This record gives sequence, C-alpha cells and structure tokens, in this order.
Amino acid sequence: MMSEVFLPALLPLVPLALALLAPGLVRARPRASTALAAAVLAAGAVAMVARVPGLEPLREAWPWVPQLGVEIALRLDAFTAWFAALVLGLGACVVLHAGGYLMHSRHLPGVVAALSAFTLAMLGVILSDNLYLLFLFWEATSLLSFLLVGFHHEKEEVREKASQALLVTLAGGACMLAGIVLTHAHFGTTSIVGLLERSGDGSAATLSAGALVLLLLGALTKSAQLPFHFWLPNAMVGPAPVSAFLHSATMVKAGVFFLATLAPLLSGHPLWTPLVAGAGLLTVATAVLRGARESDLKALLACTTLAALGFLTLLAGLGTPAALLGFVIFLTAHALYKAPLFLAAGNLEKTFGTRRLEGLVGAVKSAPFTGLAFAISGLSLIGLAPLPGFLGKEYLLKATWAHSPILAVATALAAAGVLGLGLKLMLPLLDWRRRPEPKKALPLFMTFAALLPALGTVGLMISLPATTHEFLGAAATALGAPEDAAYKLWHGWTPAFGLGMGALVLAVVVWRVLVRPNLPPLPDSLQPIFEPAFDNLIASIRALAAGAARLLQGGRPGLQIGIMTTAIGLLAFVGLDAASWDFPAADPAAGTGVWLLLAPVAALAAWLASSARSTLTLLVALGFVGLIVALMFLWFSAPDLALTQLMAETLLLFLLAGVLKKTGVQATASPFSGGRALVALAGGALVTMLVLKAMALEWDRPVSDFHLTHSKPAAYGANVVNVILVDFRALDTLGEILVLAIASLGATAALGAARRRSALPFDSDSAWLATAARGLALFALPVSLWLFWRGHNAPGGGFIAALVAASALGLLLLVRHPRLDAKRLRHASLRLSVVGLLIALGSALLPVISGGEFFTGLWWHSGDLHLGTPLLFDLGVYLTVLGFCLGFLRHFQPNATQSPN
Amino acid sequence: MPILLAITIGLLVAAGLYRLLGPGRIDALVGLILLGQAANLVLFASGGLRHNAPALITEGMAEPTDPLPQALVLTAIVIGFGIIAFLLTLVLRGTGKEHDA
Repeated sequence: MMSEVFLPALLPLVPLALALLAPGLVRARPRASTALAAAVLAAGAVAMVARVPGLEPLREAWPWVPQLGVEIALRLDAFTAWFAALVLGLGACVVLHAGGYLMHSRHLPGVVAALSAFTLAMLGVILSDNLYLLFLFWEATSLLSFLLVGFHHEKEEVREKASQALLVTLAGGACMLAGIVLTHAHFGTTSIVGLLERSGDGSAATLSAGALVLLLLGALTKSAQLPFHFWLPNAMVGPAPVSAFLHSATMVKAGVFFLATLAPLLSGHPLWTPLVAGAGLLTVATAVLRGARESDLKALLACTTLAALGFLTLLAGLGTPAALLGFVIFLTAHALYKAPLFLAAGNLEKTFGTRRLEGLVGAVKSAPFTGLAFAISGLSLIGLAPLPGFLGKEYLLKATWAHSPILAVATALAAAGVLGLGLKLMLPLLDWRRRPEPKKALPLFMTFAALLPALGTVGLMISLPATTHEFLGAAATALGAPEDAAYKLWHGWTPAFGLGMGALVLAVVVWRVLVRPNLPPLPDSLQPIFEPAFDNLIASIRALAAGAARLLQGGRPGLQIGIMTTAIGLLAFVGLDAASWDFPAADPAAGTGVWLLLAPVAALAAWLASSARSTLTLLVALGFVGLIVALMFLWFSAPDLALTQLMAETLLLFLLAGVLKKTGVQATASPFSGGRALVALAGGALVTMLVLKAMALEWDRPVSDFHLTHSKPAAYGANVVNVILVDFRALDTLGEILVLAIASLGATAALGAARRRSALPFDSDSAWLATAARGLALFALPVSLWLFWRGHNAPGGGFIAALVAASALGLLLLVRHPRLDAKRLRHASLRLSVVGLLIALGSALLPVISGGEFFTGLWWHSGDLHLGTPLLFDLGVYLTVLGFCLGFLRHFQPNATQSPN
Repeated sequence: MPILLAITIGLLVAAGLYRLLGPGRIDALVGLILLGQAANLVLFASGGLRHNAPALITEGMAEPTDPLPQALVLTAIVIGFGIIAFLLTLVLRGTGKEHDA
C-alpha cells in the first residue's frame, strides 16, 4: 500500500515545510500562523497515534553512500510511531505556547521555524534506520537546541550556558560517531533493524569496550547523565516553551531513546548494565541532592527531569523485556507531565513575575487553568494512582525487583527522594490559604497550551485500561517488551507495590526535611566537581589556542612561513632517498655554451632580487629573471611558453613598478639575516636535488603520447600545446579563465570606487615616448590577432595573443591615450570578461545541443581550413584574459578631467 | 647540462625563500614572484629538456618533446601573473594611499 510505505518518509516533511514557511507566515500573521503550525503538528500527532494499533514494522531505504554503509533508511513500528506522536503532539503545544510567550518578540518567526526544525530533527532521530543518518539528525538536535536555548543571546550568561550545552553534546556526538563506526565494523551493518536481529546471538559480548564506551558517551551526554548532567539545569536559561520541549519529548529523550532502542542487543555486553544503570542511578541521587537546595521553580523542575532521565537510563541499562515495558510507560508519563509543568511554570512566571517558590504560594488558586494543568501534572509526577506517573513508578520498581531486590530497594529510596522533590514543588502552589495577586493577564494561547498535554495525561489515564493492548502495549512490544504487553493498574500485593507505597511514605518524611528553608550546605565531598572540571578544560583549550595564535600570528608572517617551509623541506628530504644518485642524461643537441651564459646571469639576477637596495635594481633584477626563464623555454623547445612568459613578465613589471611608485613602498631588502639565508639556501639545495631526481626519471607518458598522436587527426591542430589547452583539457582552461575573471572582480572590489580618481603614477609627457607607444600599439594589435589565428598550428593562441594586446594597451595607458578614459576601460574590462566567459561556455555547450558531450569539438572543413568550436573557445580565452588584464591595468590610467598633480 | 639548470632553479628558490621570510612590506610579493618562476621551471624540466624539438606536428619530424608539462606551465604562468596582480592591488589598498590622488 502506497501510504503505508511512504508514511515514514512523508512524516518529517511536515515540520520541514513548517520550518521553511514559518518565518514568512508568522511575520505576516503571527497569531493565525502560529495556531496553524500547531494545528498541523497536532494533526501529524493524531495521524501517528492512529497508525499504532496493528502496525507491522515498515522499512524504506534509499541509497546514499553505499560504499560506507550510509543510506537514507527510515523505519516505523508501533514504538517509533508512538514516540513520534509524542514529539509532534508536544511540539504542537510548545509552538502554540511560544506564540503567546513570545508574542511581542520580533524573534517569534525564527523561534517557530527553529522549533519546527527541531521537531524534524527529533523525528529523524526516531525514524532513522541507519546509524549514520541517525547521527546526522542527532547533531542537528544539538545545534538547534543551541539556537533555542541561546534565545536571549544578548545576555552573557545565556551565551555561556548555551555554549556549554552545545559543547557537551557535540563532544559526546563526536565520540558517538566513532562508536558508530566501530559498531558498524563489528556487526557489519548500520541498520538498527539489522542490528536488533542480532540480539541474543552473543555477538554483542565481543564488541570492544572502547566502542561501547564511545557510543555511551554520545547517549549519556545527550540524556544529561552523570557526569555530564550539569548542562541540563543550566539550559534553563532558554524560554519556557523551549525548556518544555527539551525536557519532555526531545533532546534529552533522544539520548534515552538511543539507549533503549539498542538495549536488547547491547545489554548482551558485560559492561552495558553496570555502566548505564550505574550512571542512571547516580544521576537520580545527584538530582535529588541538587533539587533539595533549589527554590527556583524551573530549576527544581530541571532536577526532576534529571531524576526521570536517570530512571529511564536505569531501565535501558537493565535492558530486560520487563525493563523496556517500564521504559515505555515511564517515558510517556514523563513526557506528558513534564511539558505542562514547564509550560505552566512559564505561565506562572509571566503572571506573577517570579519563579521563586516563596512568591508562588497559592498560585494555583489565582491562575485556575494553568493551576489545573500544574496540579494534574504534578500529581502524575508524584506518582499518585491512577495517574500514568503511578504506573511508570510501579513498572520501574517491578523491573528492578526482577533484576535484583537490592537494586529495587535502592531505586525505591531514590524514588522517595524524587517524590519528595515533587511534594516540595507542588504543595506550596496548592496552598489554599494564600492567594497571590496576578500581575498580568495571560494570552489564551499560553493557558491552552499548558492545559492540553495535561488533558493528555488525563486522557491516557482514562483510556489506558481499554486500549492498552492496541496502543501503549503494542509500542512496548515493538521496543522489546514481552509479546502482547499490557499495562494494569493493580497487580496484587507484589513487592513492587510495597516498595512504591514505602517510597511514598518516605517521600513525605523527605519532604518534611527538604522544605526546611535553612538546609545546611552540601558537605565538601558532595560539591559539584564535574561542571568546574569541564569549564576548566574548556578554559585551558581556549588559553592554548590563544597562545598558539599569539605565537604564530603575532604579526610575523616570516615565522609562520619559515615553520611551514622547514616542515615541508624536511618531509621532502626524508622522501628524497639522497643515498642513490642517477644523474640525468643531457640532450647532446642542447649544448653547454648557452648554460655557461644563462646560469651565471640567472644567479646574479637572483642575488640582486634578494638583496636589492633600490626599487629600480629590484625591477631590473626581476626583469632579468623573467627574461632568462623565457630564454630557457625558447631554447628547450617551448616557443609558446617563451612568448607567454615574456608578455606576462612585461605586464607584471608594469604593474609592480606602478604600484611601488604610487604607494611609495620601499622595495629595498631588509638587513641581512643569517637564519633566513640558511633556511633559504637549504630550501634551494633541496629543490636542486629534487629537480635532478625528477629529470633522471624515465617517465611513462601514455597521456602525452595520446596527445601527440591525436592532435592532428582528431583536433586538426599541429601545435599540441595549444590543442591541449583548448581541446583535450579545455575544461581545465575554462576553470582557469574563470579564476582570472574572479581575480579581476576581486581587485575591483578591493580597490573600490576610490581608485577611479587615481592618476597614472608615471610622468610620461615625453612626446617621443607617446609617438613610439602609438606606433608600437598600432603594430602590436594586428600581431595579436595574427598570433591568435595561427595558435592552433604554430606558436601562439588565445593566452599569448591577449597578453600581447594587453601590453599594447598598457603602453597606450602610459602615454595617456585620450580615448582610454576611466569609464570606458572599466566597462570594457567587465564586458570582455563576461562575453569571453560566455563564448567559452557556449563553445562547450554547442555540441551538447547537437546531441554530443560537453566540450566535444564540432568542426567545419573546407580544404585545408578547419574551423571548430575549439577555436571559438580560444576566442573566449582571448577575450577573458584581455578583460582581466585591462581590469588591472585600468587602475593606472589617468583621469582626463583631473589635473595630474 | 641539466645540473646547471637544477642549480639555477635552486638559486631562484633560495632567493625567493629569503625574500618570502623577510619582514618587509613587499618581501612576500617578491618572494612569490621568484618562487613562481622556479616552480614553473621545475614543472618544465620534469618533461625532459630537448633542444629544437617543439611540440609541433610537422611531416618528417622525429619525436617532439613532451607537450603536457608545457601546457601546464603555460596556464601556470598566466595564473601566477593573475595572483601577483591581485596581490599588488592588495598592496595598493593596504597602504591606504587611495585617497590622496
């Protein structure tokens, strides 16, 4: 059936569409759009709940990176559908609440979008059937919760706490990714369904402890378990709806979800239960100790969340069918009571202007609807029968008793502490003797949003006896509870019931202790140590980074470059195999005379360039270096290179001279430095050795031979170098001219409009120079065209021809040719670049239109004349390079309307 | 005499590195120009040095030289020119003299 197969895939699209549409819609119609978004999410929740009865597990997968085992795989069974319904339903309440809570904030559209995206990420975690895909959504929840928690980002404290939460969860996530890779390697699959099929075959026991610990680091950081618990109470700095969502159905629940999902498989590992269950139980204890000293409503609620997460982790750590049965009811009950508690806390804060318990005594009476939500949820938290919270506690104790009575007693003691916290939280607000004055009326959205999930608690309580097999029981069975699981209120006089009653009685005693206002401070041995340790760690990493930056980037690029070149040089030297030498054979035709001439001149020029005392010496030295390189190209059979080198060198010196003259930057070398000389000479010697090695090698040259063989018959060009550029490797060339065009744009951006007023830096009023320049330009332009035309068969081509033309224009600029004014040059350079790129691209696309492949040459023949798209491409190169050169040269052109002072 | 070419390249590298490591304002620029020339020559030399054997297909030609390094070096020259030209505009910008024209 279509709808069945695609449902898991379509479901996440709902919040995705919301996230994309929300900013625009909410800005235009805040109330209506927020209500609509909530309604859409709620509809998704209803659809999901309706799918739960009789749902056979579905799976759908699309390949992504098959080599790495990454696929887009989604699964849906009764449990994931139930959990998804919780996420969507509470998401609806939270969005609705945010619509009231942040009604006057201009950030509301962003928050609604972020909440929708957060819902999407959480659904992704739940529905993924590939561990890598799950990881992606996992990290997305961390990032989005950072945005949401950091809502009041103008406050320093909020930024710190949000960053802390992000760092803890992301560090855990990174560990988890490593754990996933190791798990993948061990089990040979990344599918959760596939992994769970291996449950009980003993393969989990041989998983390395490292892999297990890495996975757990991810899950325990996310679910805020000891020793990573501290981020959760700190994340209270977020707005109330955000806290409600993070604490009830998302974020921290992703952690326990991951644990419970893999529990049937991984509880086969000997370390699983001690580590996970231990962390859970210790977290509960920490939460009680911490909560006993809190008098801030939200902080106290956060401590009860920590405790609930501890219990859920404990159940996942046991991993038995009975424990998973308890997990589902505890999770559901907690999600349904924690969301309204936080939303109601937000309402009370808005109404009475405080979150302190002392200020809220009797608040339920003054804010009846919010109070009702608070009361129902609070009673469920305390675990009063027949509310779902009671069932959660009951099945928790049952599962632990089945594991070991000692554990069950410990759990009951911990539960007593948590119930004590619940009483501390509830009773002052339910105090009927007092009635605080409300300071503000609440938007309807907020009251309604808080009441809705509380009504869900009531609904679950009423419907549970009749529907337990179809809904919750089916969900529990899908997670790994026994077949035909069902929840019953009354089990007879079991030890679990006794422990539960005992915990309740003890809780009253605990509460009498806990509400004492002057509770002694914690003894030193119980002071929090993990949070300061984490903060110190982060602080030292920051200090290390700052120190490294000061050392390496303290305004001395030489140090940085020196370290890099030395490191590269050492690496190259190690790989050089300096012991064996095989000197290259010289081409006898090349002769030695030319070397005896060129090499000393090159050495002298290099020496001068490194120690030049004046700008002129430097320019002459650089010119000589360039000239000698060009002569080498010419002598060793590379006429195209020689021409390109000559032209590029000319233009470069023109630009360099202009810039130095204009800016007055001193080109003189700084005083001699022995250290620098040592590094430089060592580098030079190393390169000399490398070149000798490289030249002595006999290269296998199938590519070059292919080019030589096919140049004439396939590409109708005798000049193989040009054919390579415009035909065989034309895509590379296209990329290159694109880079040139971008460099030219970058220069324009860097210099901006201010430069247009600049004048030519050279005094060039000499008449004979002007005449000579014009004559030369007149000669150079036809030469440029000629070089372009012959390029395919003889030395020349688009690059060279364009550089020749640019040099001619440079000369004309030097003598202030009247027709080269600023505006015209700017337009010309831009147009040439764009037109050139378009022509080059068009020549590549033409064959596509006629059914060939990108960059296939199309040819038209007439006798000895061969015209084809490669020639067109070369024209594109010509124009782009010319435009690029003009783009730089024009910064030196004189302004006709300005006196050249 | 390939060894002379190798030494020439080594000297260019040494001169380039020396300037690159220097503290002056355009030391890095001059160093890059020299290193660029040297790098082009290294690439060029790796194709084997042959006299009077350009990669032009003509009748009766024995064996032309390897055209591939030449094509690479040709684009390298132009790109190198582009980079230096861009750096020059940064020098122009960085000196803050653009308003005194």
